[in-house]
Formats: sequence, C-alpha cells, structure tokens
Amino acid sequence: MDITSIRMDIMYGNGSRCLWSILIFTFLVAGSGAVRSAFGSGGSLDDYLDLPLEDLLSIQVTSVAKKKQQLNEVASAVFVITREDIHRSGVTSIPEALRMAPGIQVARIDANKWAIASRGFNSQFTNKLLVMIDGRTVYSPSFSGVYWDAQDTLLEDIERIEVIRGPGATVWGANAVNGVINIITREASATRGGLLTAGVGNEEKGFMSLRYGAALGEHVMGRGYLKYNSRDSSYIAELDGDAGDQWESLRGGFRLDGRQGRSNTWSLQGDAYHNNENQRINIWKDPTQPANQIYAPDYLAPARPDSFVSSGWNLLGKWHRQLSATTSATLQFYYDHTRRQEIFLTQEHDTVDLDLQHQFRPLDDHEIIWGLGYRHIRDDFANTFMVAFLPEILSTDLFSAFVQDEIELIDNTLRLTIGSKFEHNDYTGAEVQPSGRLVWLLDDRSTLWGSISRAVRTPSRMEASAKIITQIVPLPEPYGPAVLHVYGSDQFRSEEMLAYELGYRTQPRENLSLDIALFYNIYNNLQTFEQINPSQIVSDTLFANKLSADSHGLEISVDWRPLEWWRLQANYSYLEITSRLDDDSGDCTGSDLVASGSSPRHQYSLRSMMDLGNRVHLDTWIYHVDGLDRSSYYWKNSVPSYTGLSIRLAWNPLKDLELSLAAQNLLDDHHPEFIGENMHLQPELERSVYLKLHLDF
Amino acid sequence: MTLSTDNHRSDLRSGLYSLLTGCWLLLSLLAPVQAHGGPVSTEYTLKAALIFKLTRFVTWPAGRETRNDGKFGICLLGRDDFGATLDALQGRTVNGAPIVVDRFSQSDAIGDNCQVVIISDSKRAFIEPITRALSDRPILTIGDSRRFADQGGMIQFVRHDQKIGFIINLQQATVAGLKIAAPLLELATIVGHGSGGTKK
Repeated sequence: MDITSIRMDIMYGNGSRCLWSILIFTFLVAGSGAVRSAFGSGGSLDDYLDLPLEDLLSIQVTSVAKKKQQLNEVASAVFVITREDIHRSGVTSIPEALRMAPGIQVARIDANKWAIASRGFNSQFTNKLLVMIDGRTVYSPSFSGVYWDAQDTLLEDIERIEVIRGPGATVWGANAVNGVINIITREASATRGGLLTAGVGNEEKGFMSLRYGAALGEHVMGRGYLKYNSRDSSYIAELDGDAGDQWESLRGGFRLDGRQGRSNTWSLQGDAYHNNENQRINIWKDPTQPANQIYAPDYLAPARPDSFVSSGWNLLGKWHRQLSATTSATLQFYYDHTRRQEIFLTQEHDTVDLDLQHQFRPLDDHEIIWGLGYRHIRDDFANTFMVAFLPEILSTDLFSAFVQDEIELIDNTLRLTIGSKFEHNDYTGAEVQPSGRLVWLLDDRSTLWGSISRAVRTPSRMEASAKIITQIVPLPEPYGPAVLHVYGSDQFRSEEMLAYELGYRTQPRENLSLDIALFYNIYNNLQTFEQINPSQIVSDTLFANKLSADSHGLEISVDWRPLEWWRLQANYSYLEITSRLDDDSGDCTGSDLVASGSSPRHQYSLRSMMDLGNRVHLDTWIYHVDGLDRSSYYWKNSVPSYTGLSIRLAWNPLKDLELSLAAQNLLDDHHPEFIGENMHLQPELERSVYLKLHLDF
Repeated sequence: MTLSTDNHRSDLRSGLYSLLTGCWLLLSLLAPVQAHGGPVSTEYTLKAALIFKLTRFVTWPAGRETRNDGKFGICLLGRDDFGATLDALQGRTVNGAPIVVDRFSQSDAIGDNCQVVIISDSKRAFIEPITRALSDRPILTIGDSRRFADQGGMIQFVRHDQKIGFIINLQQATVAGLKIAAPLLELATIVGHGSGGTKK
C-alpha cells in the first residue's frame, strides 16, 4: 500500500473514504505487527542497506540464541569435532567420527557393532556414556548403552559433535558418568538448497543421500533428507573370510526451524530408519527339547546366520523464549520408538520425554539455570530361550530436576559453578549428583580449570530383571547339562563414582593451541556376576555390585596450523585403571579383569589436512590404539594393538562438485579391535576404499 | 474519520487528511523502531550492513583503493560469525570496484588481498600482534572484541544498551594512510587522538 495512491483515493474517492480509513486503521494495528516482524525476523541485509547509517545505529539488537559460552572457558574436558573435521576425515558414520576425539575409545566389533567408551570400562554393552542427538537421549534402556548401528543422520548436516569427557555438567543426568557425546545438527537456515552424495567402494559397497532445504514462509526454514547405505561384511578366518555381518540402512528425516515474534524460536525434527542387518550368532539350544539332542553335549549351534531388523522413528520439538536480555526458557519434548528383532531377542521401546529449562540472573555475578524433566519408557520384549526380560512388558518413570549457579567471583577472571541433579527412578529411588567447577582465566590466552563431581549409573532393565544364558555345561552322567543363567536383581544398586579433574588450555600463538585434561576417578559398586550357589561346581549368577576401581589418566590435544593451507591436529590419551573385587565377592567371571583390561593404556591420533591449490585437498590420518588384555566377559583372549591409516584425496572440478577417493585401515588386510560377548564371533575389520561424489545444487 | 462532502473546502481538507494519514502511516512503519523497543535484528546481518556503509567514509591512499585485479577485498580473519550474510555483499561495489569476500584463518596469509579485514572475536587473544603486523599496509581493521580499539584495531563495534555503536582508533588509521571522513567520526567515540573523543 503506497502513500501516493492512498492520498489520490482519499482526495478523489468520495464513498470510499470511510473504507480507506478503516483499512488504514486495521493496517496500522495488524500491519505494524507484520512490519515489526519483517524486521524482527532478522531484517535482511538488503533492508538494512536501504537505511542511512544513523538509522542502523539506532536499531536494537537482542540475541535470541542462548549466551554461547566461549569454549575455552568451560570447566570440563571438551573436544569439538567440527563439520570440517567430519568432511575431511572421510568417515562414513558417527561412531567412526568419534575416533577424532581424545579420551574416547572407539572399537569396532564387527561391520554393524561398535563398543565406544570414554575413560575406560568399555564392553559390548558398556554403559557409562551419555549420547544425545540434538538433545534426544539415544541410549537403550535395556542395557544403558548404545546400539550404534541405529544412530545416524546425514553427516553433511552435522554442525558439530561435542565430546565431553568426565561426568557431564549437572544439566545432564544419570549415566553421564564418564562422558557425554552431543551430536548437534545444523539449523535449517544453514542447509538451504539441495545436496546429493553418492559413492561406491569395497566395504562401503554403495551409498547415496539427498537433502533439500528451503524457506517455508517468512519465519520458517525446513529441510528433508533421505539416505541409504550398504555395507559389506567383515573378515573372519573360520568362515572362509566372510563374517556374515553385511547390512543395509535406509533413513529419512526432516527439520523445521522457525521464529515467532522477536523472542521465540522453535524447532521440530524427526527421523525414521529401517536397517536390514546380518550377524552370526552362537545359539544355545534348549536341552529339554528332543529335537535339540543333535546338539548334545554342548547344546551350542555355532555361527548361525541371523538376519535381523533394527528400525525406529523419533519426533523432537523445542521452544525457546528469550524473556529478557538475561533470562530465557526452553521447553523440549520428544517421542522415540525403536524396535530391534534379533534371533535371541526382540525388543521394542517407546520413550516420551519432557524437559523444561530456565536461565536467569537473580543477582549480578550469579547466573542460575534450573530445570525439570520427566521421562516415561515403555518396553516390550519377546523372550527366547537365550535371553529373557521379566516381565516382558514394563513401563518406568523418571523424574529429574537440576539447578546450577555460575558465580563470577572475580569479574572475567574467576568463575565458580556449583550445582546438582536430582533424579527419581523406579529402580533405586532418589539419586543426587552434585558437582563443583572452578575456572580461572589466567589471561586472554590461557585457562585453568578444576572440578569435583559425583555421578551415578542407575540400573538398566537387564541388571534389574533379565534372565540370560551364560553357558550350558555338560555334566557327567547321570546329570543332564547345566543351563546357567545370569539373573537380574531388584537388589542391584547404582554404580557410583567420584571424579577429580584438572585442565589447562592455552593458545601460545595465533596458529597453535593446546589442551590438557587430567583426571582421577574413584568408582564403587561396579557391576559383578555373583555366584548364587558358590559351593556347587557350576552355578547361576546374579548381577550385583561388588567391584570397586580407581582410574587416572590424561588427554592432550594440539591444534597447529604451520601454514595457511596446512593444519595438523594431534591427540594423545593415557589411561590406567586398577580394579578390585570386594572381599565378599564370589565373582568368577573376571569382572575385575574386564574392568581394568578392556581399554587401551595409550591411544594417539594425528591428522593432517592440506589444501593443495584451490581445488585439491589431501587429508591423512594415522591413529594407534594399544592392545586390550580382556575385552569380553565370556571370551578370555586379548586383542592386539593396531594402527589405522586413512588417506583422503578430494578434487573440486567445480565450486559445487567434489569428487573424493578415501581409504581406511590401509596398514593391514584385516585386524580385530574388540571382542564381543558369548553370542558373537570375533571378526576383523578390513581395508576399505571408496569413491564419492558430493554435489550442492 | 468522516470527511466533509463540501466541495469547496473538500480538496484542501482531503489533502490535509491524506497528508496526516500519510504521516501516520510513515510513523507506524518507524514506530516499532522507537516506541516498542525496536525491531530485533540478527546482530551480524546488521554489522555486515554497517561494514558496507563504513567503506563510504574511508579513503584509501592512491593506487591502493583496490587489489591488483581491481576488486575491493573484504576479508574475514578467524571464526566466521557472519556466514552467508557477508557473502551477500559480493556483487555490490565500493567506488565502482566490485566486492570480493575472502576468509583467512591466519593473519600472515593476508598479503595484499584485502582493503578491509574483519578480525573475529576468536582472535581476541592476538589482536595486538595482528594489528601490528598489518599496520604497514593500508588495511581498515574492524572488530568487535572487548578491547579491539585499545589494542590497535581501527573500528570497534560496541553495544550500548542493545544498540550498536563504534569506537574509532583514529591514530592507527592515520598511520596506515587511511582517511576517515568527519561524518563518521561524529557518530563514533574516538580514541588514540588528542581531541579526547566525541561522544555519540
């Protein structure tokens, strides 16, 4: 509506004067809202360039995003894996990307299984790491660990992965005992347009993905993606080289981000996936069934092929409101459904989670964050002879609250953060996890920090109520075979730990930064397998808490850019764990040996990223993982150390097109990294090469 | 708002009414800026617009107004807080020279590619060595770190009660051979110059 035409109409239109005045009035009331939000949705550059300089200087700026804390001022051992790191390393999955972080042990068990832990205590069903994707927790409540084959997204749309070693800040909850991994995807506004990737290889047999993002209105941005991966099996000598663990995955998802008025932002995202996977399982057969007599006396059918399905979907919504320059609130809701159907167990989980968080400054120098959370999990198991969860269907509720005060003791120099998380779960009742952290900003370039925290790992469904076969032992006549189980128990308590951490970060030169983190952790009530009838030759076992341990170690990370076009990134991790069974423990499984032997003493990694001219990139990555004395409760063998070498060569013939050739595990034909539990074989990971096309349109 | 149907005075009166309506309309467009506490902007979109406008008030020494290829180089050193909003300046011109946006992670790579260098807050621990290294070239340095102007930066963005303002280190600009026009100096706080500063 332009002023000149209104004036003409008013001057020359008799009957329409009233109409115009009504229209003008409504425009002023409603339209000023629209105009305000046209500027408010972040006026475009063109809008601002039309205004004179003086007007630009009188526009008010309110940052809607939460105050982003400078990473170098955080009182935790944090490492950020950036988009560039993910792209240049040539990794094709989230678990492989995590190798770039210090202090994290990534062990690939077979083509579709990984054992990933922070600061020790790794196992196929490791449970001391909290993993989240955009705030949605992805651990399986069955065993408090992660099925990594089910965690994926379009890697090109990951903004960063924050890896925090040590007990998570109090804002996260039970199970963030040794670390938190936060996978953060890009906002829809950053992924406009189309992206196509496609590739072929020997291990990454074929993959393709498509994403398209666009503005869906004045205040809403959205994107949708679809991806497909087909992966080859790994190596095993006993089965003529083919471990029978090839798998395919299909996944799609969307994300919407919007702005409402000038102080609200919201997002809605969801994914759905369906994986067709394979594995070879050692199946225990029921001796009481006459048909199974052919398996006597061990009643074991080794290496049986199992085609299994892993599928699920999730929906996650967030609303953030900036109430003032220093106060904000966030509400988050998600629904997560997963289903995993393996030959020895079918499991379904439905999780509903609601979280509220509020941040405000009651006094100068005090910033308080507090929150409330509720999570409802319903599981549904279809038991088999080998693995049973009793009852088959159970719903649990988790209530949590946290509060944290960040106190500026000396302005911009000394900051103390104290807080605690309070939780109530259906297994152990109330749990409290306090933590205190101190940051000293020595100068513009160096930070010293320290912390003391208590963390707990609450019981999983398995430790509370499972019945799983550990072994079938043939006994001399006249006894039939002894079918031994491990039983869950309602007496199983939470594992506890107390962590003392110290860290130093410095940037001595513009192109060089260094980060050191030290820790000393004390663990109590760690999980053991207690013999129920120790006086008998063979006995069933019970999940109990009769192990304690302490660990210490350090992680060093260096980032050096000797030349504008050449960047080096190096990590070193050292870890020492000492474990001892309680005096009254009847554990014969070697829980103490697994606790101290399943993680490497030394790990190192060196990455080199070179830009050769404008169009060619050469990236090399070498990493070494020490051997493991004992990685499995059932299998007693050790795993030798290994060194992985990855090389990636990429060429941009056009600005939006990249062709790359990437190879992993170049130094050997195949090597083992970890041994899983009794049901599984011991496959090895092979040398892998793939060719990839990446097109932006 | 009934208007008189009297023909004789209607033209004058309708003219007056329409003028008032026009003003009211214009005020309603601007009113959100003042009355309701101002529209919200993405901070860096605003800063990108300000950077473009600043270039009109700065004169580079003869022969150094553009790069060797005739383009006007705006460079970003350090972490990119601007994103696509800075790239949107490409295609616009400064004194006839088309803008090209380059990004650098190390200051020693800058060379003669830039007329303007925006130093990101990620470099805040190294402002002094960087500005010292760039001082031998006619490069306008802009930044928003806390002590940017004190540490040798030429134009520093500051926030006074949610609005953006400038601090200009005039001495540093003069030493580099850059002239800053008076209208810009009047809108800024001056440091590094004997006059003691002009408050906005």
